[in-house]
Amino acid sequence: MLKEQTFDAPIPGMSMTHELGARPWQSPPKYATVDDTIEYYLERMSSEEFLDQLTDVMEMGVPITSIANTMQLGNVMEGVHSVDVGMLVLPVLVEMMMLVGDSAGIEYDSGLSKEAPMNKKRTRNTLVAKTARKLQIQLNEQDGKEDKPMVDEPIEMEEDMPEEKPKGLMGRRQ
Amino acid sequence: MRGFNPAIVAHMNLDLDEIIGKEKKPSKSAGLLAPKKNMMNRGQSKADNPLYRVANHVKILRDKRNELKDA
Repeated sequence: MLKEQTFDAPIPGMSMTHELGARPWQSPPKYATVDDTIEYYLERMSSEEFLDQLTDVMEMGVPITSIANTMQLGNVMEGVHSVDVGMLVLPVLVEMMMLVGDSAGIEYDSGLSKEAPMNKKRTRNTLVAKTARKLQIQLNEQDGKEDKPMVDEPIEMEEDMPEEKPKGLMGRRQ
Repeated sequence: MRGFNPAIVAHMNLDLDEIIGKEKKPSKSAGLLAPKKNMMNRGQSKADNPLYRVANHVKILRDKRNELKDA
């Protein structure tokens, strides 16, 4: 089996392309302690907008562990907290999201088990959305072809051409 | 392909019973001058440990989740 290629890794030496301290994660983090960081996340996660987005993503079948890891990694990059505090905070984020999922009454994939239980039962919503989008594009293309005037094809115009009269001696005359 | 996700490892290895443990009653000292605190662990209480505080937060959330499931 072919090994999957990933091209999202940084190029060797990429970290040295900027001055030391120019990147947000190279300066002291905004929240240095676990308590401050947990408070920051809880405050952020309690907003209605965030909850709506989170439930949407969870319903799509994205594992909670992946969402939590992406969140903490993004905040490390923005200099909100350090990497080690991010690692410590991860279980709280996962547990918080599971609580959100349970209170919203949605079926989610925690990412802790190897097989997602929701994926066994039904077709993934993302797959349905992808197929619907493809179909929509095809329909749009077809509609576009029907509406578009055919430029490439020669247009045959019927004109009232005067009938040519036979010119020769043997030509029939009406 | 399922890549390495530290969230899975962090969550799976968080043993709440071991980290939080049960509250131990301080043993009664024999005499008036007997030390009440262990001098080896002086200045290092459980609450100072970040992992202990994280475990406490997780325990609270998990209990709430269990309440929701039971209801």
